[in-house]
Amino acid sequence: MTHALRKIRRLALAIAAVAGAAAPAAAGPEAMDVDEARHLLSRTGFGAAPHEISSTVGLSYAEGVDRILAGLDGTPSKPMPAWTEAWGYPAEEIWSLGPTVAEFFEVNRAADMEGLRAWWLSEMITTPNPMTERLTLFWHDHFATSFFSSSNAQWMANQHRTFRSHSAGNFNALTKAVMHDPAMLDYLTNLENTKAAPNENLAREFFELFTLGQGRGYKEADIKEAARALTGHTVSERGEPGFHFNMETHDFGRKTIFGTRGRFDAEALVDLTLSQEEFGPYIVEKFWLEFVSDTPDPSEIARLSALWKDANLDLKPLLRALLTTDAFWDPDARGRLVKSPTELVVGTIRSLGLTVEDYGDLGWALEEMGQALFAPPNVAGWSGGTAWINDATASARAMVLSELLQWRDAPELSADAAATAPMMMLSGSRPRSVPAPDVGPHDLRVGQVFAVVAEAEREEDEEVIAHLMTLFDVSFAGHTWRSLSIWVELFGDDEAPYFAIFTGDCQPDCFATWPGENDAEDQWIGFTPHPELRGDVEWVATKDRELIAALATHLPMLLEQTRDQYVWLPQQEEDGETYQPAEFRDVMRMVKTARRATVDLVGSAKGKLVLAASAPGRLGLNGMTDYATIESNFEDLAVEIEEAARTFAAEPAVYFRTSAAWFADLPGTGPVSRRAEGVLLAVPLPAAGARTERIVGDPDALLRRIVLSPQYQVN
Amino acid sequence: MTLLLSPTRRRFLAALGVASAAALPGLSLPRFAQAAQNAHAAGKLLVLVELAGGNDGLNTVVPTRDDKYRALRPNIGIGRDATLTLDQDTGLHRSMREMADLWEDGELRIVEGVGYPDPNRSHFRSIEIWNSGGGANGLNPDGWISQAAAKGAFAEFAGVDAHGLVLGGEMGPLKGPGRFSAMRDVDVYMEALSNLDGSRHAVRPTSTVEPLEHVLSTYESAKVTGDRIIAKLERIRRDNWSFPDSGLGIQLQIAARLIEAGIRVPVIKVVQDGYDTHEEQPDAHAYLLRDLSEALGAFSGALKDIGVWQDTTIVTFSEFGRRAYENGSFGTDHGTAAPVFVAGGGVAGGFAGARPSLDRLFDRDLVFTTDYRALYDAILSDLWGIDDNAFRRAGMTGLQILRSA
Repeated sequence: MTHALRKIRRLALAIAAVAGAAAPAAAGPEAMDVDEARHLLSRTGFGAAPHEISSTVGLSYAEGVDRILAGLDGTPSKPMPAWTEAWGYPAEEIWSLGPTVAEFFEVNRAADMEGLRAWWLSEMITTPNPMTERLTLFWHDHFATSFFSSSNAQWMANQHRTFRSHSAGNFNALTKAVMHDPAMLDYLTNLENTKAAPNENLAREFFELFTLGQGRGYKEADIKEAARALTGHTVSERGEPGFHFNMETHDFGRKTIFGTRGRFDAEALVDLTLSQEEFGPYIVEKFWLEFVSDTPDPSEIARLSALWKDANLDLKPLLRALLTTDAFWDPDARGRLVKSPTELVVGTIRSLGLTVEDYGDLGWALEEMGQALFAPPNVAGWSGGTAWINDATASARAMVLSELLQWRDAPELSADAAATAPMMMLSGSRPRSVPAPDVGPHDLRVGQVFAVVAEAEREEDEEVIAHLMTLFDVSFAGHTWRSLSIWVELFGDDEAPYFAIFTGDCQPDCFATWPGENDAEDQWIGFTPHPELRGDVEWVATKDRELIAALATHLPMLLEQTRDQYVWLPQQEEDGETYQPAEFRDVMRMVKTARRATVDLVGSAKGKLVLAASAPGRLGLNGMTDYATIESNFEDLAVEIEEAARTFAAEPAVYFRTSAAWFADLPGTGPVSRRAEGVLLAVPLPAAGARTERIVGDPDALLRRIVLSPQYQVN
Repeated sequence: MTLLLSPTRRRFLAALGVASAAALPGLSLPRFAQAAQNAHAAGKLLVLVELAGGNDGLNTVVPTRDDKYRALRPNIGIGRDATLTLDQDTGLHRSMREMADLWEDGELRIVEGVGYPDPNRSHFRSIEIWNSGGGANGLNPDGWISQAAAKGAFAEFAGVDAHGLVLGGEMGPLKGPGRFSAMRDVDVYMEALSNLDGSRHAVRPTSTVEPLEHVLSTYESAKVTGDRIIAKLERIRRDNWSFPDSGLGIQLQIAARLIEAGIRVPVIKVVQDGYDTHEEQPDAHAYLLRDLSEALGAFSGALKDIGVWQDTTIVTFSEFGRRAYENGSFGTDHGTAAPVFVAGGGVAGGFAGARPSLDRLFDRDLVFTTDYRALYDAILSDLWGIDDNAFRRAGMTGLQILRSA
């Protein structure tokens, strides 16, 4: 958009604001005045811009609340970064390319996280429905999970999507989704919670922090039993990384929770807990502290809690009731909430119509003030309230606001640049260009081969060799696999090795003969290619037989790709012993035997093997050109990637080039300094008489006085 | 991944017009000229080191001759040969060489079995209990140090720059009213102070709205405290000692720099995070204890050079120890009692308190032998002569940590 166009747009808005100001504005439930409009908007969003206030003034309380609730469908106004979609990176296999590549992989995940932070902040700044973002942040705080636990940005993005889609939905459904959420299960170590060795971490926090509240209606014995109910709720080890219910480690026995006996799992545990008499007040109180005031009224909490339970724990009825309580509209409640760092920063940008050039700096600002998004300090979330502000964060807040006030005269944004910047544009590296290979219908195309296991052991004087390789980014006969793992094992003098294929990472139904295997406990199909099986392969679908034939035929060549990988190197163990993996040549011999025997059984491949290097983006290794030379400028590359991930610019729907233009948009009547305070502050500044008058002719100074005041910190 | 963060941070500071510390000229006084000036700067200095996450006491101070220990820890237990000998029954985790040196110099006291009755195994509740000093059912949200300050504990330190400085982590024991500041990054802190408004009125405005009153008073105290600290810190712009490049190492390096600059403050708090070792504990724990030991070793060396080691007492604390028996993930779950390290030039070295018996577990876990409030009483009375304190009045007494007390 050109500068001239912007001016015109601003002028049009200014005219609209004048028209709004002309409307009658008597305060009260039937028609909000400026103060009330600002109160409603800034409590349910991030600050309140002059044009938002103008369009809210004159509405009744109920109309204003309904308008906000109507926007709560959780849909973001711009799409999440592309990498957050279904494709998953080979996080479990990347180590086999060596520690340097693995570290570079981590750098990329950290950059992904920066990108997601930047995306969320930009969404907060530009969305027409800021309450959705407030609620999503509320759940992120409530079901606190940190990226620093799993280092899995994709899980964090998926969790964010869950919070967003349930943000104003139903608490029961949200809680169930969280109890099946990989990032949460990892964060609270439920991946180690098994029937043989229960781990209480998740069960404890589920009662204490997520549902009932510390000390409200549960006992240590309930925690122990709930931990049993949550055993086996884990994450898939192979294939698409997601929730996995492990029947072998789940405790199917009967448990006694709250005096009720049953074979509870996570789903049943949520239902049972949310039906307890004691459930309700803890959550409602949290909403009160977030949206109403710092002093919950016990009788109102009880009333709202009952109302919420009657509404089947749907959140919209609770929010409507909360936002129409007398306490919410009581003028004494103004200024009783301390702004969170996110509210402070995003609210300032939206209220003043500032232009943001670099979200990365915003991320740092938030961290300085104690609220790094996607990295709450612990599972209890951020302490909030007056705890946001201590001597140190007070200083940080003043510093950040002072900086924000200068974000007026940003250079003209290029629409093209804004659209393309989120993609990786690395000046210092040229992605290896791979000509699109010619792939025929029977060709097996493989993006990357990882050697993951190479074991050689003696069992009862018999040599056992086992090898696991994972093919990544695979296609064959019109089907695509994210990953496809192959297990080959040879015991002693057996004629043929055991040969197994993982079927769990291909959508939909890549194996016609084994449909629906994705839900099954054992997602491996395996066999020993013995000649006696010849009669049995008849019932295997032709397509499946052709795939097995292709994999078997190309197995030695696939293995050859892993010759330089880490799995073949001796490893130092904890006790100082050296672990000696299987020899490459022994595994090659085994693999060739497997090929011969399998081909005898199912025939050989009809097509060729196409080894097409996966694009760095597919492997999660953006910025990498050559595994061997990455070390030389590792840090430079890391910084470049991080910056590329988060450097893009945007601005709120309405923005202003100068403070003077902002002042021209203010609703209401009276001295301009008072009108500005009315839009930005919940509690007035102490009268400063002559001082205000002196700076009234200087819009920047006037804004600075308001925004850097202690009063601006509360809402 | 600090690799990623540091360049951004530099850029962030640059954007705010803050010069990097490295670019500023070194202005330190000759070290020994300063020492005399520092010696009694703030009476006795307490340095609190929070081991966040719950440190596994049994694998830190190891009962090497106890067969029960090996039975409880079949996989992650530490053998006698893999420890540094403290006495014939006890070994220190072998990562802690510097701590072992302090032990041999008689400057390390290990208080055994520190905990409290009716233990809570929630991180957040248990650290709250430790921070507030109120026992399992205490509800006071303020820290035990700030409570003591409110009752005049630091009255004799007229002219101190602050009652306490938090260099890392939560305010914890220093949370609440009083002159307690957090300074987690010196350069950012210095720049920020210049932007603090609202404290330049002759009479500070007040508010009856509690959150706003909190903001007003915080702005005021941040400004006053900051101005004084910065004025002193201006003198020293160079780090004279090398510390581990870890979170804890950096915090203690800043502490050393502040002390060298003659900051007058009775309490400094630092944090080391990561002790919540539910899984794959042995490597992670060894790394943490090595970092702790190396950082404290460097810190004690610096304080000896400055000449204030005799007046310094370092105390570690953690929300809880870990379960006596290991779990199925080569880790340990939340437990109860654990040993506390007390180190310093005036500290009475050796063991204190009784070691919890592994034969008499309650709820399959350790039973505490020293109430943590006896430790707090010992700190208040031994360091600052505050014999009449809430903990002693409650009967929590009987522990001595300094030689001369």
